[in-house]
Amino acid sequence: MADNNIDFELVNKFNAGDEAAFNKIVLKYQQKIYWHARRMTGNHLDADEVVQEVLIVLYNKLKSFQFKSSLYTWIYKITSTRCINYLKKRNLKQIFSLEDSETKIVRSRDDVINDIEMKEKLNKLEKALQKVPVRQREVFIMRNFDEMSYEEISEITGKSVGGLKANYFHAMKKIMELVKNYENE
Amino acid sequence: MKTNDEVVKYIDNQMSPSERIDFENEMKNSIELQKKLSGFKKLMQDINQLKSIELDESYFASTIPKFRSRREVLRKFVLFPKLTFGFASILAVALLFVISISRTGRNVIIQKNNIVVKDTSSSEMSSLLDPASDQFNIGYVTKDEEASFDSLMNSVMTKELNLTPSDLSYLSPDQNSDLSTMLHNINDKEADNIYKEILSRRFFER
Repeated sequence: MADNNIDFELVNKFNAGDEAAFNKIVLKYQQKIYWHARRMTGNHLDADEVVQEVLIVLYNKLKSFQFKSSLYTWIYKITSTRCINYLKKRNLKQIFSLEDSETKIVRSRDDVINDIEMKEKLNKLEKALQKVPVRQREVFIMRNFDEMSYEEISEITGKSVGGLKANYFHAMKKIMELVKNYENE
Repeated sequence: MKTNDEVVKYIDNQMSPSERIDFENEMKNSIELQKKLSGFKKLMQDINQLKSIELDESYFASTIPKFRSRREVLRKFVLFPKLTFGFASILAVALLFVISISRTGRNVIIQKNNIVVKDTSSSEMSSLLDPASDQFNIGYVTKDEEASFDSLMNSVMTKELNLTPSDLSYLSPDQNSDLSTMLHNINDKEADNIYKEILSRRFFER
């Protein structure tokens, strides 16, 4: 509740012309935006691109935010939409071969994680997650990484709880298959 | 043997209490089931570890400056919408002008024995073709051409019906009559007989 009040104040300050209030909002939520984007896209450079897109949307639309949901839910909704749009564009680029395999190698090298062991684990998981369809991947990430309930996910994605359960079920099944390879690696 | 579906239900807490007890009892005796679950537990442990992974702090410190500079670039574009619109309009007008110029004087290309006509109206076409109209002879057939058509027709009929020159004179009693008069004089029965004869020779005797 207190968190919501702080957000309310920050949004009002920003709408009154205080640019520093926007910086505070970004500092508060940037890690969450980044990590959702990173898990969805599977690499740092794409995640960084999504973060910048989200911040631009956030900046332009914050004036129209009416606190019908929490700021976090609203930001998460923007992030989720941006990620899906970004992945669609990326897939199109890959179909038309505008991005070669060399670029992908450069992408994986360019990272901001210093712990090598964790980096390896993350890369392995990212690789497995990229094999899961986008909508299923999204539910899997929200359930397991962000520990969201189906109702919260439903509010963000606009999908029915039943549909989300089905998506999660399929994602888990796929992950179960991938776990075999995951263990062997 | 429990399927993956049931394992997923168990992991996602979608089982009723009795189903859960059954599942756990079966798991005690099934090595494969235990393997599946241990693999998944390992994955979940890794996920939990990865939740608290630390990033290079300088990255997050650079997010806002990067956003600000990007926004500045976007703002410059937004600041000059009228200029952009004006530039686009000039470009469109120039393009239309170039297209209209390229359309004039390219209607007809006449080479020796070869005329190429492009995007020409009917009046333009008439004015272009009138000077050469005497070479086309579309409306009337000259006497020489009529004789040549008769000769061609005779040779075709002779070949089709395997006729001798005397048979041909029977078929064409009046050599001077033109083809239309000859066809006009043939009654329906004769025409039908000729047609049947041609068909029968063409398809059954070859």
